[in-house]
Amino acid sequence: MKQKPSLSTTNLLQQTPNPIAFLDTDFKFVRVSKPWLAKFKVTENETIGRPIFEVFPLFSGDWSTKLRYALDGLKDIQIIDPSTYGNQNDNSFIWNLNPWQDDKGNNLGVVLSVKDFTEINSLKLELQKTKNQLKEKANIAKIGSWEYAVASNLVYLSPLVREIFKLKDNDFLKLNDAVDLYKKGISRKKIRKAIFDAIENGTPWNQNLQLTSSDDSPVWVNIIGRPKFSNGRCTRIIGTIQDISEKVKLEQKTFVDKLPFENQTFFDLAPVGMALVDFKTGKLLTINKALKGLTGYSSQEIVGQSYEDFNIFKTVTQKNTAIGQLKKTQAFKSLTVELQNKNSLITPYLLTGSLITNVNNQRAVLISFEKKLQTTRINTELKQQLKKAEENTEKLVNFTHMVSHNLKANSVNFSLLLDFLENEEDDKKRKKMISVLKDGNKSLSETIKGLRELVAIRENTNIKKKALVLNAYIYKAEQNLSGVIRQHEAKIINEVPENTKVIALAPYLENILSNIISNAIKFRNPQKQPVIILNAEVQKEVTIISIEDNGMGMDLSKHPEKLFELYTTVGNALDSRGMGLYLTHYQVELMKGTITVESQLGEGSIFKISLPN
Amino acid sequence: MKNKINTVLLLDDNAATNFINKKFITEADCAEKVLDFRSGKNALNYLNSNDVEAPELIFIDINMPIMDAWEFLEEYKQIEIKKKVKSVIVLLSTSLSPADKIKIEKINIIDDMRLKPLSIESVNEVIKQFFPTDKAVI
Repeated sequence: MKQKPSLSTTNLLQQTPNPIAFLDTDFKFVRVSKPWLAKFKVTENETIGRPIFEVFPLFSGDWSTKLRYALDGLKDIQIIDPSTYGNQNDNSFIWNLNPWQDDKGNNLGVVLSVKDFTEINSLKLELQKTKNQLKEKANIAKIGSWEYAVASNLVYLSPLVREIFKLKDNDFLKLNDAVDLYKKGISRKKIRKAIFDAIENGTPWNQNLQLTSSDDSPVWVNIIGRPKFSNGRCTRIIGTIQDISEKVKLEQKTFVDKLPFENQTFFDLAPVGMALVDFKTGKLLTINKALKGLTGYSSQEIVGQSYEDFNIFKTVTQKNTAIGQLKKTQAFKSLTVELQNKNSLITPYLLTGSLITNVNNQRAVLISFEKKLQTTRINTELKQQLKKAEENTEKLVNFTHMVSHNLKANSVNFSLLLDFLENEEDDKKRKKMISVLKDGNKSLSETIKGLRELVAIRENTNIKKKALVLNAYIYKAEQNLSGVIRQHEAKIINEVPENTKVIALAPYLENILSNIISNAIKFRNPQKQPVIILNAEVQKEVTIISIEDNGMGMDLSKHPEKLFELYTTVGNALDSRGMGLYLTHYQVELMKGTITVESQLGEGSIFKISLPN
Repeated sequence: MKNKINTVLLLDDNAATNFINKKFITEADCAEKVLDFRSGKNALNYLNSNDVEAPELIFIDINMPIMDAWEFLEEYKQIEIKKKVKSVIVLLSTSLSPADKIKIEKINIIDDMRLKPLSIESVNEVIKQFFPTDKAVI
């Protein structure tokens, strides 16, 4: 579509000191700058509206091709064409071709500019580089055009394109066959998507893709496609294809050659998978042997692809974190990503990366890949075990503190009391001291007994749980406490169904029952006859043993959990519960059960022990 | 002649400890009355009654079951307000780690921390420090 340049462009053009010309899509001159007219000794009238080939009839064949490339979007095309030099002793110059687009990206034409050699000498090098990139071992003719017609679903490939694709005869290909020319995997996916987007949304594309190649050297092309619409529907897509294999090779070579490594050996022989990614473009430059082995990909399949093509970052946040870390600390650590290997198997990998710079200040990210295996599960298990061990240790340490506090207090008291006793002559006072000593001794014995029980518990941990008849153990507990039961005329009502069994450790079950029943009697209500009711309920997952008493009850409103804590008390059994409940709780826990209490002051308490079946 | 304070309160769950501490305080002859309790609850019940004077000096064991020293002190603050008195509070422990000392320093209501059981010397030191003879007894 021909468009006149806007006023601002015209002004700019008038004022530029460089020779510049604007060509429309038919390569006709639309506008030229004054220096241009001066340089080529032509007038506006002689140029505007005329095709460039008319104005410069001596152009070589290359020109139309290159102009077309520029029109298609290829930037910075440079031509040195001696035929354009004037007859005078003009200094040689370089033509610069660039696409002329409006802000929507639509092609308006081509911008031509001219630079003298003497002005900028580095252009020579630039040109050389461009030539090298575009031309080295590659024929500049390896750029061809193609066209796809929607109606017939056929793709036309120009002879040059067919050469690139190494096709013999067919002028026309079915669309699918054309797509299959691209390498299976990322490239093929991309071309399919590009075609789809073009037809559906009118989106043009410019992509670097890899072709299926039977031999070892990878073939890369740059394919440009532009959809054309008629009556609101896409009727065809036209474009160009350019062979860029050498350019790609050169790019990698340039970087890799100048890596700070002495040689590639370290990289390649490293026992972990490693990859080198160009920091600017995100393209994979090279991967080592180990990574090839891990993923099943070969160098050609990987190199040149962007890391994004492998979908290694699950979320944008993950990607940004990695890049952010790289920018800040020149490294990123412990990134878990899921890679799909060649056989479509998805495995988690742990990535660590660091930023390296070569002598040309090019930056790349060196990444190491470690298979994550079952690390997560093992880690979690380890962590749990560690936590448990820590808890156990803490319990033990607490216990040790408590007990040693107890013992120390007692022994100090004994010494002092004995000293007093020695020096006391008053009989009444002596009697009092002896009584205090006796009480102290009693509680000391209880502490030591509790300690021994605890040790015994720990030694019993190797015994396995068994199905035990509950009533047998209730009977045993009653036997153990027969003295106090009789003494306080306690009534024990056993409502546990006859053959009820629990899965437990025999010594623990006996201890627990004895302890709770003993407490029930100990903390009886002095005004009532102590009555203790035992029951059991077998549920799906657990069996619950309940022991209810009509004793003093407790105020558990404030700190219910303290009931089972280890007290430092060495006091008289009358107002302390000693170690009994602590040990009971411990034993229940060891059997992976739970123990709960409900209590009301003045009414009584119910202890419920739940043991898994 | 030494100034005698009116009441010393001993709070420790261990009967023997209370007995011993009481003996030392009596021998130090620094108080008119020595009271001992084995549970914070009992002590509070006694102190809450209106016709009872608040003790000037209280020795408390750090580790007590059911109601520990801190809980007792929380409640005791109310009694101080009610009776418009401020008692000297000394914490007793079987060991004195530097960490404990630092912890204590941060807490206002506690005036000092000592090893238990007491001795005549430590009792005298406490009296001297908090109830010096040239000052009137509060």
